[in-house]
Amino acid sequence: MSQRLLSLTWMTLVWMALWGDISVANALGGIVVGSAILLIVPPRGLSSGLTLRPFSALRLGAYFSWQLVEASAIVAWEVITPVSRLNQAIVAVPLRTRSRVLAALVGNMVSLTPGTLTLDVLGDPPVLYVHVLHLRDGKQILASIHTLEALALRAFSTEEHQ
Amino acid sequence: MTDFIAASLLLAGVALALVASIGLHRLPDLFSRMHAATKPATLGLVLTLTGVVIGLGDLSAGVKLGVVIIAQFITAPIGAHLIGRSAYAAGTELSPDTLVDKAVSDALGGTTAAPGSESGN
Repeated sequence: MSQRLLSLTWMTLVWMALWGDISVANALGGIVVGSAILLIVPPRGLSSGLTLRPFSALRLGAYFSWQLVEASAIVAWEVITPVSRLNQAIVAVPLRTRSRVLAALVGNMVSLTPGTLTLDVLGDPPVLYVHVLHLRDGKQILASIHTLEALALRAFSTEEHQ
Repeated sequence: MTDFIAASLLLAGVALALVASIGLHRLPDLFSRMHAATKPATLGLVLTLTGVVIGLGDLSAGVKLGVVIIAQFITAPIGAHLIGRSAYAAGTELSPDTLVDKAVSDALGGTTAAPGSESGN
């Protein structure tokens, strides 16, 4: 129930943001639209085992933002300079989390961090299949994804790790 | 000063979008092109919209564009993921130097192994 309430609050906020105006009419409109969405697409209780640690979440955000800048710079350099340093590969990266929500989060972030792109998430515990642009050292790819995962776990997970 | 910051952000964002589109043309296969379509394109959009918000100095526009940025962060990787996965399963040709472990190719249900595939790694 509280999850539905949370979803409804979030959708109402987004609705008001899209109208760019905080008013009673917009809030009511958001609640109506949000309730209709919840009715048509009921949440499936995926978020169990999750929490929010604001400080760790900020750290994850900061780290991820920097990684996005670095990732863009690497792709830009590869595209602009005439020499190709590509050494592509597809590697399997086992995750430590069992939460599907966190696997989705990490998988999404991996696609926006340097040189890696998630192709698929399979299995339980989930394994990421990642396309790598510049493979130098497989261990280093694993380590960078595990760093990202560890930060995400610290920010959102209630699972026991380490 | 605000104008200068806004203009710099807009220029940087547009430049990244340009790089992303050149990348779509220059990179050798679908998978490497998806890299160009996700990272620089996303950062480019973030910089451009931040520039717009600073230039306009309008809070309500800022909130709206914030929603756009969040949507981009969610949809860009999901789109790349779906295109990459279906392309691989459909047997889209990988660039010949791509390294794919046999186990990885089996797990992904690929119909064609990359020409350069070998075990190890």
